[in-house]
This record gives sequence, structure tokens and C-alpha cells, in this order.
Amino acid sequence: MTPRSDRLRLRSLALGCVLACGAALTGLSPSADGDIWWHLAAGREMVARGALLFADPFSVSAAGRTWVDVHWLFQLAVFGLHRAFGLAGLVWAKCALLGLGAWLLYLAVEQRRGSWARGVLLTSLVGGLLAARSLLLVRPVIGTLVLLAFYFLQLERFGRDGRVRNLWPLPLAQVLWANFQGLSALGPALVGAYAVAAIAWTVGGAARSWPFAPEGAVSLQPWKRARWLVATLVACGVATLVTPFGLRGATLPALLLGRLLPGEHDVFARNVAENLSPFVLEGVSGGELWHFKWSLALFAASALIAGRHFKLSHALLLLGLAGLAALSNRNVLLFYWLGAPILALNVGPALWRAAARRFRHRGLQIAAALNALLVGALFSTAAVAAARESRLAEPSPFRVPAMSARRLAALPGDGKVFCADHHGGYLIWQLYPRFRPYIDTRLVLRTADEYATYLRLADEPERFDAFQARHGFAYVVLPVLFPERYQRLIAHLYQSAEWKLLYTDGSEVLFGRRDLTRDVAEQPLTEASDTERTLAELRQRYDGLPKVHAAARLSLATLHGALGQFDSARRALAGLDTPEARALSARLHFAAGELDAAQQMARQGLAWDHDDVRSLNLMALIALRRGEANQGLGFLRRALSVRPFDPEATQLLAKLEESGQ
Amino acid sequence: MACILLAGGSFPFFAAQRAAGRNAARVARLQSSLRRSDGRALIADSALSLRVSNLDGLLASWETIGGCGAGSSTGSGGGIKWIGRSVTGGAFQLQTIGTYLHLQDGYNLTQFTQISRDLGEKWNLGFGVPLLYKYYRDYRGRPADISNGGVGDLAAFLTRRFGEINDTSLTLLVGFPTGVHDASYKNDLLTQEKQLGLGRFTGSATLDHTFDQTWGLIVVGSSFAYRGGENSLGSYRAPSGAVYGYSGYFMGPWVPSLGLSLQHFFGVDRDRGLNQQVLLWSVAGTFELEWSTDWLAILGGVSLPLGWDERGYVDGATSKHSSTIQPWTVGIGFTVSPF
Repeated sequence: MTPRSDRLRLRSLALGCVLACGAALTGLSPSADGDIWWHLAAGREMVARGALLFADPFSVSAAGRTWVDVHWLFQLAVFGLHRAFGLAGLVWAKCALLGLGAWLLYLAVEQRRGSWARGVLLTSLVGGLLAARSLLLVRPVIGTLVLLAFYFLQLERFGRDGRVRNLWPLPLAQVLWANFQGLSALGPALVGAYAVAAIAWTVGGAARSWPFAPEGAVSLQPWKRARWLVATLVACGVATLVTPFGLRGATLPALLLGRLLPGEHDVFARNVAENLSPFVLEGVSGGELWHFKWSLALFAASALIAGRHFKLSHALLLLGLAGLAALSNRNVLLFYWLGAPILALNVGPALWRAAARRFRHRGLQIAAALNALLVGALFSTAAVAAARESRLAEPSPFRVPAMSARRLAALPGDGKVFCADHHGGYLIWQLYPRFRPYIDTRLVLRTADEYATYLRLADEPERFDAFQARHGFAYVVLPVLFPERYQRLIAHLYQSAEWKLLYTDGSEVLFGRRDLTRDVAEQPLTEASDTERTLAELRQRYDGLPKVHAAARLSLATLHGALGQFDSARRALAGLDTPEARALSARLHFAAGELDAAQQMARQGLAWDHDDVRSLNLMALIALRRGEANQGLGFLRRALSVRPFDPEATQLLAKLEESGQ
Repeated sequence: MACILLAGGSFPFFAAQRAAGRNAARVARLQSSLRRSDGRALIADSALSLRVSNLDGLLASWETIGGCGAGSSTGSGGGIKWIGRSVTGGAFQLQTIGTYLHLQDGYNLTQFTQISRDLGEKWNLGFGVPLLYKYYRDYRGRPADISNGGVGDLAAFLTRRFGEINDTSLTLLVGFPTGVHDASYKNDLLTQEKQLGLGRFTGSATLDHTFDQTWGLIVVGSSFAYRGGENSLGSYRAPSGAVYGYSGYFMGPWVPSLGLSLQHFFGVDRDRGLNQQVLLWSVAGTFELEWSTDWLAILGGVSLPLGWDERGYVDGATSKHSSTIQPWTVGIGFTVSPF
């Protein structure tokens, strides 16, 4: 080997390491997902029983129902990891898997002279993962990313060298995949895309008018290539059946996909945040996935740039994953993950050609330096994002009812707990079998009607009393602000004679039935000293985490506001000077009937940001409350022109139309 | 491929523009009703959300602009007629269908884009722009491929709806001779079907009736097309007529449909005076699948015609016997109704 090839090899190795590190860095955040807890609980239960679970042992609403627990392998793995290394161990394992997957993708992109594909992959993959960082949760999908990368690598290798041995590991990998996640259907889908492309190439590839690039090396005849891919597809399909659940396990992905499809009456597609289309999410809440539309445009440009160098297999993959991502925001991660190498393969060679032709050697150097600069910026952003996170050994703040679970654990007896769905898993993990939650995020165990009934309890809390009479819950655990959907139910329970507030820190509430908790002290909330005590607790808990501390105070103020305790709410916000705190203060003044003060603060908000929709909505309401309808409508029009889908503004408009009729 | 991705990427912009326009109209209606009621105050519910940050996704409440029934499309993109919910209700309707017609010796790609606007409840006015790309291998038996691409005959159309629920519609369409009709290869004019237009005005009348059912919809109709007659080069296209029926089934956002159409040509086409080979009768089976939200409708379809009653002579130097199975067509398109 010559020194030059040694240098190239070393450079390639270094670039791969940088990519793996960059991908791993994007995943460095504490566990924020509600699912991981019931996964851990299932792993623990399987170890305790020495058997798999075929029926739900955990929740009230699905007790005894058949549970096609295709995640069982993942659950055993995370339980073992958690027992050995704790929650931080799970996060580090996630990062390691991301790095491994990125490395596999790197290998899948062929290194050859005259192409910057690997350099473009570095930028696009790290950038994509950073953009979709909120989706990089400790979930089985991380394993799916690794297997997607492995399939892609093996299929690309088969395309390059035509060696059938590249396909042999895929059915084995499929068995593994089918036993840890419902997304295992992506394996056969991936092979299917290559098989369809190979068949199409066999039929029409010889024609001069064929618009796609050749699918593979000339060393293997096209029909043989197609035959081997179809055989692998069949083998992967059969491998999908090799689970303890047989055909039911294999059909689970279809059921899950059906729940993503939008429709007027599909409660799962419309109400589960991760099932919403990224377009919907962006329209309603500003959205963390604003970049999705731009990424589609980028991929469109890459298709144009590639021209007839674009492979049909890649086009099919890209379209399929883009479709899945457009359906449900959780799939954006899959789109970015496999889209990045395809983008690199499409754009890399064209970029190199353009730079080399136009600017020669200097152009190549400048372009490489620019790419390095971009990668550096991405790494810095990822590092800053990771540094801002709370401790990895604990769950992400506000995502689990940690304190309520601790209080419940200290209480004697047992009972059913009504809770928010995303809290259910954590309660199972901490309190099963003494306490069982009504619901958790295993929505596949629930029918659409059941889930709709559950959601109506939060939206129309007066229904809760009849629901309680039917189920006899002993305790209720709810979040205050993350999400805010349960605030009305919290206010309803707080005013109810049947329930008493056992604990709150402002971000979670624990209610107990009075007849069952006579010996347990009620947490007072009405006095100034009560708020001060809670504030002191928050100060101590979030010492060194100013942003989290501010959010906790905001949540406490929101709770007081929802309960009509406006002085306490203002006390919770005292000295907190953030845009959110100012906006909440203004709203509290409005709710208290102090229109002048509310108007003054809303005006301040608009002085900071001319298009602040929160302030515009508030100004509209203030004007309407004063009978200045034209002025109110003017503010409302401005709010709706800035954010046409803003829930508050559209709701106000609908109510005004009702009142105007 | 790029068009599909771009369409997806541009969807939020269209959706936001459309929603902003509709919201502004709703607020304007409120203001005018306020003036009529002599300043009577509007009553707003004083309940105000205490949410001040966007840390979590909220729930969407989409406004429906779609409705049951066939879309108002008259532009059938080479054998694919839009069957499904489609979308309406915006300031205008934009529909585009791309089709691929597979020929024995090449293919035709067509991108037919039409923009229309409702003029009240009963009338709809629009125009269509066809982009064509025709590719033929081994032209006239020579080892050379040819292609001809560009804008075809632009069209304008007017639709009148009838009935209490507008379930019957009559559409008149006029095609303008904007497509090149005298393109040549090596000083030899291409045969007329390889041209982008005929160089003559064309026209068609289409009568549709839609039966809306709870389970789906049925569309029956007929059309007559004047395909331009004879042009300055002596090429002639005979008129044609068709009757058809389609039935679609509602499955959530999906509408799969099956259709059958019978077409007849009232004469034999001629290219510069020479008769062309043509099957006077054909029947086409069509399968389509539409997926729609309140904002966007996407349709894909495939059409396979069978023909009989062969007339005329074989065009070109190569003699080919026409098979009963005629060139198949696949198409994909989308409709949005922005603002």
C-alpha cells in the first residue's frame, strides 16, 4: 500500500469517526419519553415471571386484554441496561447506537474519487439528526435506525459488487427486528424497493429512454439480481413471522399505520401529538419541525441535480419515507436518517464536478473548507444543546410525575389511579402492582371510543364524576402545563368535595379521595406562605438549572391561575422576567378582570414583538370585553394573519361567529 | 419525483395562505354584520388559555373545505379522470395530473395543469395548460430516437351545474391552437400524433351526473369532442364520443374507484392526406385511488384500454398490426384549493 492510499484511508476513517461522534452527540439528552417506563416495567415483569407477556397486566382500562408485545426483546435489553447503569446508561447506549448506525450509513456511501458523497453525508446526517433531535428518544426506534442503516449498507453493497452473500444476513436481522419493534415492516419494504427497481431495470433498463441510473454492477445479470432480491424479500417476510406472536405480530405494523392515517373521526391521528402531520404541528404550535418542508424542497433539488444518476430504488425509498413523514411527525426521523445518504449520493458527485470544473483545485479546497465550517457549526450547536440539558441520570423535567409517585408509594394500601396517558408508564414502573393507572401510552390496547371518552374527561371535566362512579379511582395524577390540556379537570377536582389535593409542586398534581385518605394531610394552596414553600422547594430542586426553574415557576403560576388564585399566581411569577412570564402575567390580570393592567402588559409584549400572537389575542379579548368590537376584530385579524392556524385565535373567531349569529 | 417533493414542501405555504385568506373573510363578515346591527357588541367567552409557550403540540382543528362528489375537473389527463372528494372552497382550484402513456415504440408524458374558479354556486370558469413530452424510439425504423416536447394546446372551459345539489354538470371546453403542429425531423414533418397540437381550434362538451351515496359515489356521463378537423397540412382528426361510469368507495381519507368508458371515433385520422391506422372502438377499464385531506387531494390511477374495429393504413415505414390491448396509461396528480 502506498503512503498516499494510507493517507486516504486514514482520512476516510477519521471522517467516519467524526460522523459517528456527531450523530451520537445529537442524541445526548435525558429521557423525555413516557413509553420507556412501561418498556422497563415489562422487562422487569418478564424477568420476574420467567415468561413473556401475552396479556396486559398493568393498566385498569386494558387489564387482561391480549397484548401483542413485539417489543419484548427491547424491553429485556433496556431493563438489563437500566439495572446495570441506570437511566444515564440507557441514554449513552442510545448515543452509541446512533453512532453505530451513522457509521453503517457512512460505509454504505461508496468512497471514490470524484465524489463528495461522504462529505455531504457528514453534513446532511448530523444536520438532519440535530433538526429532529426531539425525536431521538430512548425508544425501540433507535434500534430501527441501526437496522435500517444495516439493510441500506448490505443492499448498496449488493448493488455495487453483485455478491449474494451481502443479502444473507438480512433475514436473520429481520428476525431480530420483528422481535423488538413494530416498525420491522420497514425491512421488507426496503428490500422491496430494491427488488421493484431491479425488476423495472430488467424490463426497461436497456432502453435509452430509461430515466434512472443502473441499479447495480454489470457482474450480475439484471434478472439474477431481481431474482435474488425477490428471494430475500420473501425470506424477510417469512422472518417477520418468527416471533412469539406469529401472524398477529406481523400484522401489527399495518394496524399502527392505520392509526396514523388522518380522518375526521380518527381520534388517534388527531390527538396523539407524535401522530400529527408535521405540517399540522407547525401550523398549530409553531412547531419544532418547521424544517420538514424545506427538507422536501432540498430533496427535490437533489433529484433534479442527480438527473439520470438517480437510482429508482433510492427514489422509491425517498418517496415512501417522505410519505410516512408527512403522515406523522414521528416518522420525520426515519426520513432524515435514510434521506441523508441518498441526498449525499445524489449531490456529492455533482458538487465535486461543479467545483472542479469551475474553480479547479482551489475550488475544491474552498468547498471542503466551507463544508468543514458547516460541520463545525453543527457540532457546536449540538454541544450547546446537550450542555443545556438537565442530568442524564434523571428523567427530563416535567415529563414524569416523580413526586406524586413517591407520595403514592409512601401511602398504605393500593388502588386505581386516574392519570394522563403519558404518566401511566411511569406510574406502572414505580408503583405496580400496588397501584395501577387507568391508561398509559400503549394506545394499541385501547379502542378509538375508549380513547375519545378518556380525552373528553379532560375537555369536559363535568363528565368525570360519572366516570369516577363507574371506576372507583382512589387517586388522580395529572400534569399542569406539559401538556396544559388537563387544567380544567384539575380545577374541577380541586373544587370537588370528594377529592383533596395531596401534593403539587406546580407541574404535577396528586389528588386522593377524601374517604380513603382521612389520615393524609391536604396540601394547602391558598395562603402566601403555601406558595412561598413551594417556591423554596423548586429553588432547591432546580438549583443550577435556571431555565428549568423558570419553567417550573411558570407552571406553578399557571396552576394558581387555573384555580382562580391570582395573587398567588403573581407571587409565583415575581421577579421572573421572561417573555412567557410577562405573557402569563398579562393573562392573569385579564382573568382577574384588571383590564387596564392586562392591556398595558400586552402592549409591552407587542412592543417587544410586533407580531406576538399571544399579545394580539389578548388585546382582541380586552377590546371585546370593553365593547370595542371593531378594535377587537382588528387585533384578531392581525393575529390570524400572522398565524392562521393559531388555536386560540381560531377558537375566538368561531365563538364570535356564534355570538354574532 | 422532484415535483412531488416540491408539492409536499410547498403545501404548508399554500395551506397557510388559504387559511389566512379565509380567516380575513370571516373577520370581514363579522365586521359588516356588526355595522348592520348598529354597533351591537360581540360577546366573547372570557375563558382564556393560560398557555403562553409552545412546548408541546396542540391539537389541530381543521376546517372542512372538501365535500362529497366528483371534483369539477374537466381535464382528463390522458385517460385519468378525477374521481373522489377532491378539494374545493378556496379562491381558486389548482389541479395538476401527470400521466405516462406507454407506447410500443416510446412514451408520452403529459402534465395537465388547470386553474379554475367558481363564479357563484352554478358556474365555474377555468383554463388548462398541457405540457407534453413525446419520445419515440427508432423513428421510422432508423437507429435514432426522437423527442418532441413543449406546451400543447391551451384550453379554456366553462362549467354549468344543474340540480338542487349541483349533481349534474355540463362543461364546454375550447382548445386553442398553441401547440406546435408542424415540427419536423431532418426536414420531414413528424406525423400528427407526434406533434404537440393540430394547429386548429378544438372543442368538447361533457355532461356528468354524480350520485352521492353514504358509502361512496357513482359518476356517469358522456362527452363529445371535436378534435379539430383538417389542418393546413392536410392532417385530419376525426370527432369522438364517449360514455362512461365510475364508482368510488369511501374508506376514510381514501377513495378507491373503478371505472369503465366506451369511446368511439367517428372516422379515420389522416396524416397529410394518408389514412392512419386506428381502432374505431375502445373500452377502457380504470382503477384510481384518491387520498384527500381537507386541504389537499392526491390521486393516482391506471387505465387499460382494449380496442377493436381497426381501420386505415399503417403509419410510417414499419408495418405493425394493432393489438386489442391498447397503450396503457398511469397518472398521478394533486388538487389544492388555496386562499
